[in-house]
Parts: sequence; C-alpha cells; structure tokens
Amino acid sequence: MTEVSLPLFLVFAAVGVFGAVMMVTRTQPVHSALYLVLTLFSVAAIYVLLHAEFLAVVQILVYAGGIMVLFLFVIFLVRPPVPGEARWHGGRHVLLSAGLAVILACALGWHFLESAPAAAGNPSALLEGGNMEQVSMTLFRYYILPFETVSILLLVSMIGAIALARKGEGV
Amino acid sequence: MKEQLIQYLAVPMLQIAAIIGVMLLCVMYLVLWERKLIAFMQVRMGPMRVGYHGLLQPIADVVKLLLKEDVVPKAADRWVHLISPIILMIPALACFAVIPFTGTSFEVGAFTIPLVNYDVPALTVTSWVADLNIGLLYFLAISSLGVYGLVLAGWSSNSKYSMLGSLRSAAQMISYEVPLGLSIVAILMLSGTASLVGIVEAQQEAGHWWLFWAPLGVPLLWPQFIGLFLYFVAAVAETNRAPFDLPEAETELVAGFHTEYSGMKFAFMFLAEYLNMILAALIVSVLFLGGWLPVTFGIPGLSELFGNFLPFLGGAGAAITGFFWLALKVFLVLTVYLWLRATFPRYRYDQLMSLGWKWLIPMGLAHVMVTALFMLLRG
Amino acid sequence: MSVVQRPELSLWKRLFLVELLQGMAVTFRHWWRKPTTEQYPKERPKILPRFRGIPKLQDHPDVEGILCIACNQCSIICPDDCITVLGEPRTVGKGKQAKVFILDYERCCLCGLCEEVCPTTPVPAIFMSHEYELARYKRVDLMNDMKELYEPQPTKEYLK
Repeated sequence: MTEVSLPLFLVFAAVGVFGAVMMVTRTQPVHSALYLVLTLFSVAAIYVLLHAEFLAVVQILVYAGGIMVLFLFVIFLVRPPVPGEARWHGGRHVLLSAGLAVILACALGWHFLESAPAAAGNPSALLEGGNMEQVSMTLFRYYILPFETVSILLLVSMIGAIALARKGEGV
Repeated sequence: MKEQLIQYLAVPMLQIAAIIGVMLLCVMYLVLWERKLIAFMQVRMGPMRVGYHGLLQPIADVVKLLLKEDVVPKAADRWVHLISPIILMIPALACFAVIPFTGTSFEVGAFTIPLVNYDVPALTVTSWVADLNIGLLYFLAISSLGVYGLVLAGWSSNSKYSMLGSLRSAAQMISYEVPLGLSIVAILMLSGTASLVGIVEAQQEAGHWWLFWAPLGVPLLWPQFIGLFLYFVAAVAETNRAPFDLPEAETELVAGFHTEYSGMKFAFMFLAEYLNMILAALIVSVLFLGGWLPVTFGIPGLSELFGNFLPFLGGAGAAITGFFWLALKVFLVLTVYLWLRATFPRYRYDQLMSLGWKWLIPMGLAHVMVTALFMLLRG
Repeated sequence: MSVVQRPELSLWKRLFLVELLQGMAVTFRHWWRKPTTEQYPKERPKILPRFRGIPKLQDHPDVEGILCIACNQCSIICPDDCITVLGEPRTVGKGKQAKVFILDYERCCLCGLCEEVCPTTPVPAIFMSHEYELARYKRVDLMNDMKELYEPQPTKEYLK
C-alpha cells in the first residue's frame, strides 16, 4: 500500500466495523439493513484501494444495489415495522457469538500470516484494465463449467420459488 | 508532491465544483424547458410572467423552495427521513465523474495566484473528472443506489401513499436495471472497453456512431437502434419518468414517495430526478450518439467541417466545439424524454412488469446475441 | 355496462410500435400550433353583449331624475336576498324613487332575475353590467350603496 492509501484504508475499515456493529445492535430492521449497506460500501472502497476496481463495482452493483434493496423490500412486506419490538437477547447469545467471532478472527489471522507472501500475486498485471479482463478470462475460460453449473443452480432455485409461490393455482 | 497535490486534488475539486454548478443550472432550465415544451404540446404557453417568456421562473422556484417550511411528519423516522434525499442526490452527482464532456483537453499554462503568490505549474485539464477503465460499470453501480433514496423516503415518511410509492419504485428499478445493463453489453462488445472516453474514441476510430454500426456493410441494417430503444425505455423507467412514473403517480398516490417532503428536502429529490434524466441523456449520447463527435460525424467531407468552430482558439476551440455537440445531443434526447411525457398515459403496474420482464429482457438478450453473431461473422 | 373490444393489432403494428409513434406525431403537430392561452390581466377577454356581469344601476336621459322607482320587485325575486331598496317620494313628478339601494355582491349569484323583473322604461334601472372583477380586500367592500352602483368600476391596466 502506498502512503495515501493506508490512512484511507484505516478510515474505511473503521467505517466498515462501525457499520457492522451498528447493524447487529439496531432493533429496527430497516436501520440494520442501512448499516449493512454502509459496511458493504466500505468493503467496496477497500477493494478499490487494493486495485480490484471491478470487484468493488460488482460489490456495489450486486450487493448494495440489488440484494439489499430486495432485503428492504422483504422487510417492508413481511412485517410492518414496529420499532423497539426486537429485544436484546441477553448474555448467552452474546457470549456464543463473541466466541465464534474470536475463533473466526484467529483462523483468518493464522491463514494470512502463514500465506501472506504467496497471496500477493502479480500486482502489475492486475492493474491493467481494472482487472475486468482478468476476471472475465478466468471466469469464462478456465472456470466456465463451474460458472454455468452455478447458473443452472440459480435457475433451479428460481423455478422452485415460482412453483412454491403459485402453488394451488393449477400450475 | 506539490504537482501531484494540484493534479490529483485541486483540479478534481475544481472540476467537481464546476460540474455541480453547471448541472444545477442545467436542471433549473430543464425544468423550465419541460414546462414550456409540455405547455406547447398542450397548446398553452407555460410560464410567462417571471422574466421574458418565463426565463427567470427557475430562480423564482428555487427561492420558493428555499424559503418553504420543512415539515416532518410526527410519526416519521426523523433520521432516515433526513438522509434519504441526500442518498438520492449523492449517486446522481457522483455519476457525473466519469462522463467525458468533450474530447480535447485544455492546456493551462503556469501562472501565479495573486494575493497569496502561489505558483501553479502548467497543467493539462481534461473535461472528465476521472477516466475509469470500468467507467460504464461504475455508472451502473452508482446509479443503482438511487433506489435507496426512494425506498427509504417512502418508508420513513410513515404514510400509506409514500410506502406504496416506494414499494413500486423498488420493484420497478430492480426490474429495469436488467434491460438497462443488457442494452449496454453490445456497446461494450463493439468498443472493447468500459471506459466512457474509450467508447467515444472507439467510435471515432470506427468512423461512425455506434448507432449507425452497419454489420457486414449492409445499409440501413442498424442493430443498435434496438439497443438505443432498450436503453432509452429502461432509462425512462429507472428515472421514474412518465410513462413509467408509478412511484410518484400523482393521480393515484398524491406524490408517491415524496408525499411527505417539503422545502429543501423536496428540492433535493426534485434535483436528483432531473440530474438522473440529464445523466441518462448523457449516457445515451456517449454510448450511441458519439459523445463529443459532431453530428455530421461519418459523413465524408462534413465531419471535419464541423469539428472545430473556433479554429483560432486551437485546442480550446475544438474542446468547446465538442462540448457544444454533446450539449446539443443531450438537449435533443431530453426533448424526446419530455415529449414522451406529454404523449403517453401512465402504465399500469402489471403492464409495467410484463413489459420489463416479458419484452425488454428477452429483447435485450436477443440483441446481445445478434450483435455478437454479426461481430463473429465479420471476424 | 358495455365491454369494449379493442381490435387486435396486426403484428406489423405491434412490432414497430405504430400506435405509439402515431401518438407522438399528434403531440408533435400540436407543438407548432398557436397557443390558445389568454394572458389575462394583460389581455382582456372579448365580452359578448349578453354577458351577465355584476348588477349595476343606471339612469336614462328620457326620464328625469332617478330611473329606479323603488318597486322592490328585484329585492323580492332575488334568490340570494342580496338587494335592499328603500324608497322616497320622487323629487320630480309622481311616484317613488330609490333613496337607499344596497347590493351585496358577496351573495349575488349573477342570475339576472332582477334585471328581468325591473319594470322601468325604456331601460331597466338595474342591469347586468359587463364588469366581472369582484375581488376585494375586505368583505365590507362588497356591500355597494347607490353611489357605488352608479359608478363604473375603474379597470386597472396591466402592462405585463
């Protein structure tokens, strides 16, 4: 990282963590969703700092622009928002999730410390073309079969959702 | 360090300030042009009283909106109610960063700022803030965030009409993002780049606008007309304009998502809507109509003639000419936008959805296929 | 209730959006028409002779003195009860003449019945004038006495 991007990274990381904490602690589901959007955004910004512009844009386009809007849509439709209805669930859940978080952090940290030099890759190749070309080459040349398989999986789930939604209509 | 600071911080700041200033002015006069044009089409005159033929009407409107009382409903979620106009506004403005307004860059010689005696080195100022090599994707991603403003505005107002409007807008904008993206894919394939500057340069190299891309040299076979149509329809729906203005549907939902907004917050929403319109028109001009290239581009003999109106200014003259052509194209596209509003009644919700999913998306897929096929055949 | 069956459009018409383009052609043609707008305070509408504006009083050169004979018929027929007439002996000749004549424009519905029943010759003493600008700042200004009913309302000229 260059001298400019380190403070930027710290800012975005702080915003991301702040958003994540706020998202978990809000009682109003819509507020939680908003804080999640904030977190997704700061993660996208960190991707930009890592020269993964394509990934950052896809993160915003798909997660922030698409999926989170659908989340909000579902929150609006499923239950009328009653502020303050959700309650703090007390010690046991906090302990459990804190334990899980610590385990996850340890695992990730160990992994990165072990394999940090190898994961760096070739930054000069990545800088070309916002790595859109690299991503598409990898996706559509080397991993075309898994990619198509995943698409079929998504298609199956879509058809399944339609079938469930229109049950009893004689379809 | 100092050069870098000026090149990467001061110049973009000035560019951003200039773009925001000019765009706000454009929005003001776009509103006036909308009122005037629709009035003409309804055999009326439109605003006539403030200034010559209502030319100062936008200023009066701005003053009115600034002075209006800001009303927040008692049951509203105050913070979300406050930030949703801002959420609407920021993506609309941020998208302008990647738009190339003209091709030639300005050469600014070294000069000294008086009073503070600050020496500014010689600079090359481009007409775009950033030429991202993922510019088009950036535009798609950022403009897809505008929907949050609408959805949250409707939800936070705690009103039935607003809520209905915001639900409609969420569904509508997500549905129409798909044909919007599909219509752009063909242009990406033709240009081989996602940078908006690169797309215009590719058109310059190809010798014609992408709209008139005739595969296999067949005259009058212009598949990009379908692309333009798809993009335009999807963009009208994305910006919630008539005939797809269901989220605000004044005849059924009062004002839809912004029913409970007044004063400056309402002005922000209004601004964002018109900024998005200008943005859509700019993207149409850049992708399909050759951006800053003259309208006569591609006609032998004429294209050079209109390339530079002010040859005595050199590079600056070419830049101003490019800006003029882009502005002309944007103006024409926006006029078509308003013309649609003056002509068509609003779509019903189910019609909107079936148009989007049953017609535009298959058309978009077919369009991509056909373009790819033509490109393959040509080799 | 009748069900309207719209004719099925041909494929050609549906494929090229012919009807939508026709609609746009209509609006395009209208764009170039002369606007029918009347710039009201600047341009005034042309008033036809039988236009019923607010009722006013008038005299006639053939009749000496006040034309109104205070017969009270207008006051009786008025559906809004907005006319009040008090009479006094005529200053010239026999009979009565109006001493007080109050017309409340706030209530007047401009029906013209007062003019119809007015028995005076050769013209009705109360008549429907061609004035139509009734806005006032105070309600009291809408109560008009005899003096005001004789005077034509001054019209303000607007230049823009």
